[in-house]
Amino acid sequence: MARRQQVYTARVKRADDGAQDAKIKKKRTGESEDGALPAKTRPRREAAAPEKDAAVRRASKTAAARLEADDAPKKRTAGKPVTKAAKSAPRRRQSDSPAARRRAKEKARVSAMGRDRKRQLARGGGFAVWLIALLTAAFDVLGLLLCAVRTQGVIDTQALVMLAVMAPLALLTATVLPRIAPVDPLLMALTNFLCGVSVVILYTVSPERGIRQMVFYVAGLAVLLAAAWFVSRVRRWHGFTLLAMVLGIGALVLPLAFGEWNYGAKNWVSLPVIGSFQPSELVKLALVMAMAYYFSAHRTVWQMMPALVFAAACLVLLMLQHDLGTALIYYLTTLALFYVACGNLPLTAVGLGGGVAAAVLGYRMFAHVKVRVAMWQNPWSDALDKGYQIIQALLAIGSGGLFGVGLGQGTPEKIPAYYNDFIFAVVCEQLGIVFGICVIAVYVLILLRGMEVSMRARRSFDMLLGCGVVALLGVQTFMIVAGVIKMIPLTGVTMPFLSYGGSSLLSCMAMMGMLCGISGRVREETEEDILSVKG
Amino acid sequence: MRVLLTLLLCLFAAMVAYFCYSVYFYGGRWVSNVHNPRIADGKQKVIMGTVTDRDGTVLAYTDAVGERRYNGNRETRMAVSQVIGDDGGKVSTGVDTFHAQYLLGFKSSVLERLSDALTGTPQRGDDVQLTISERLSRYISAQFPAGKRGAVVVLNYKTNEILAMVSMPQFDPTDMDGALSDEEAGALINRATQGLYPPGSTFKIVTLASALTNLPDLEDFSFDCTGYYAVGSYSVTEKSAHGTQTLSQAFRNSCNTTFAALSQDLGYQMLGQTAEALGFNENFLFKDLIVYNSSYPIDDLSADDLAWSSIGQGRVLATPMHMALIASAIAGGGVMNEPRLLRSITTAQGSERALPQAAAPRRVLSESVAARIEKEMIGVVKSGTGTRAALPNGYTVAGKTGSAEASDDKSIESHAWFVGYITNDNAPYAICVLVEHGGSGGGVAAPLARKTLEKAINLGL
Repeated sequence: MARRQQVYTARVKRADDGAQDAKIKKKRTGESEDGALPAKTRPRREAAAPEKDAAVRRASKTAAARLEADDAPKKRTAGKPVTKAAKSAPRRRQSDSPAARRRAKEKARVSAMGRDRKRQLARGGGFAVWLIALLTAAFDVLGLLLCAVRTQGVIDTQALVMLAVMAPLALLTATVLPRIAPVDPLLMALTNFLCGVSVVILYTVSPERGIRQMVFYVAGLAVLLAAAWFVSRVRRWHGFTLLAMVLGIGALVLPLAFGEWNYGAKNWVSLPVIGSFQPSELVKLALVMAMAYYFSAHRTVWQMMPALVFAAACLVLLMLQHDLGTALIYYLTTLALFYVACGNLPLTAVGLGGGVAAAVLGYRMFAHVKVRVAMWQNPWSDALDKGYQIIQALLAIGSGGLFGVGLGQGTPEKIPAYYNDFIFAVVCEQLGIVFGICVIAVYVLILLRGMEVSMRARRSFDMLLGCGVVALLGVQTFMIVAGVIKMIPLTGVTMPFLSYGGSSLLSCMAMMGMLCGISGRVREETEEDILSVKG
Repeated sequence: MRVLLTLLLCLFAAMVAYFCYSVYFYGGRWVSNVHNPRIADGKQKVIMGTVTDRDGTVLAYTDAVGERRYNGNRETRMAVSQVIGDDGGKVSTGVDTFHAQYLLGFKSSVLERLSDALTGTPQRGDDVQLTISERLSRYISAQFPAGKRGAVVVLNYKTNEILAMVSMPQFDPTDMDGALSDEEAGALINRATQGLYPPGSTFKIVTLASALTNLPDLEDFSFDCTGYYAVGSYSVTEKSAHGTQTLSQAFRNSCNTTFAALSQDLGYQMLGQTAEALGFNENFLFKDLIVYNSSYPIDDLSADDLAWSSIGQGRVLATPMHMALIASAIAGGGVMNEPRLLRSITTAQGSERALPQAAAPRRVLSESVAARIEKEMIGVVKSGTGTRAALPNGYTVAGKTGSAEASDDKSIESHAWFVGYITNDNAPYAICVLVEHGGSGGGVAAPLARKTLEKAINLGL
């Protein structure tokens, strides 16, 4: 969707360092989704840009086309009103005075927009970030202080240590870190908030899990930084994508080979050194990456096939693991990204129809799916056995009321799986329905910011990567929250950032890192553009 | 991409909307559910509030040691036993369980809890005053036919307050072992709200309402009752032939064949519409109490099914509370209201807490139809099957009797029903009496209704 990108100058560097450094400035280019280029496009530096990221190559072609298009009206119209194309070319050298005036005006406008844009990108909405960061730090401090003095006469030093880790991290990662690393301040602040809530809530209910979650959080920050750096630096994705796909399939086979049936699914595996983890969480990254690569560089359905085959293979393996919730996430993400990439509604509808058919088949085949659906329709029919967990979740939410029973109060441990699948019910019981809705709002903000970042991305790979992450996180959050409040049948998936668990948190942090990396790259490029305008 | 974003945002918006909706409508029920372990936990930590009747008589309270205590008079305890419930949550619809969120202080705000914590007083739940009258309940229990099961509901149709809700047999909350050992008796069930019975001829109010709403030319209507009306492969019978009657006469005589014939004119759709407007098949989500849903079959009605439904037999089921609500709706000119059981809630600090918001009044019948039904119901008590419900001293009673057959075995007595109300403005009481296997409605239920209404007038509720 490069056509929605708004950029301000057209400048193409000479080709000795390759086309990937091309900075494209265009206002609503005519490039269509399938990459069709204007007829007179002539690839100028094809030889100099060997096997580069195809999206970049295409973009540079368009830029070349733009330059040519810009030249055309200049010859024909000397003093007449300029066309749109001419307007967007402020760096043309002309000496007649109306054109010069126009150029000066255009330059001023562009630099004003650039300043605006720079402020936006550099600080990510400064005040809001500080506010969220401070609120998060305050939440961490108050929550953990409360835990520290919970038992009368005894100070829980563990909680104080956690406080000393969590609060500074919440503040610094959102405000200082973005200055030195490609990290989006707003996304970082929102992520910190969710992780803070997770650590504090888990610590009040089960201190052990709280501590482990904090360790995962700190590790997750490192993963996030690494992912952000990786995405903002790497230009050639072909090799990495292939590697990720092979590793992904391998990882999904692991639980089938070595895992054990657990709660009706075989989706965990225990490896030496790493410990036990859930491969399907980590393969999400490979899925998004593969789709972003193949959907951006290869625009016919046939050329998209490798990613689609990979997704299908993942789905089959997940079905074999009986991890239908995760399979649903994979499937919906693939479908969403397919639609975004090619805009082909009929094919997407066919895909959707196939999914519905598979769902009906799954309903027939898997007994536990039938139970889930029946318990969604009427959990009270078997309140003490099969409907127990959903009922306990609802009772917890209801008992919390609007403002909750208070942090550390209530009896969330009555809900089975309170620390992962049902963490939302625990949040609602302790901190109230209003807070629960605030948490949902934070997810929505993450989605909105993620989408904004993706829309600004200049490479279709980045755009699709961002979109994939947003779609995946959105679908997953919806599935679990709507499941817990009995809006849809319950699917046992984790709640991003909130649920206890290393695999889940690390994979979510890595995805957030991808968004940050895209955001960082956009910022870098915009800054360069601004400098080039001024220079 | 915008499409994707819009879709995701719509999903999240729908989720939040559903969340708010379900919390608003079901939140209270989740808290007060018997499966909620927090109620038992709460009783350990919080001093449960006091429950009083409308005159302030204490029905249940928590003593200094934290034990739940009940009214000292055994008769009173028994008369309100199902309304109050028990300490162990065996009676899931009792106030002690259903309104535990108030009694246990779940509704307390942060400030109230903070003040409790600062002053060092143990947290105390809210006190709840009910709309029922302990004296009226005790009277009804005493007058109820000995050894019979059943229920009596008395409502004030102006304020929609439940003045009495008595279910027989009863139990003593201080002797739960006794109540549990005799579970066959079903004393733990509140028959007024949980008992689903065929409404029998009292359902003719609904059929009449549907006919008045939908059929033209009813003034000229007459039907020759031969004591036998064949419909489909079955027939609706009457003990004796009533001969040719107008609609009013048929309603007064509670003539089955006439109403079975009317139902064939109406068809199952129209009759079903009226029944559903009056609350059948509706998911009652009253804020103050749990009432089980009444059912009226609208699916695939054969002609004889329809005929039986129109006289309240077959698959039609209703609770006494629902029938009392229908009587109230007719008394109120066709407007149905949510029944109220909570009169006031007082916090531990002494301030009044807002009562849960009831649903808005709903017009279920047009005013003219309601007025016409009232006229017919007055006729029933004046010169029809319900003469034994008539009150002296200028009070006019409108009502309808019912003798619902609950078994094919003719030796088993039918359920005796009386549904009605006093039309006088100074005594706006609606009543529903049900005596399981009591016999005829006119002979058993109507006299009990008269005594109950008389007592209510005397008590000046």
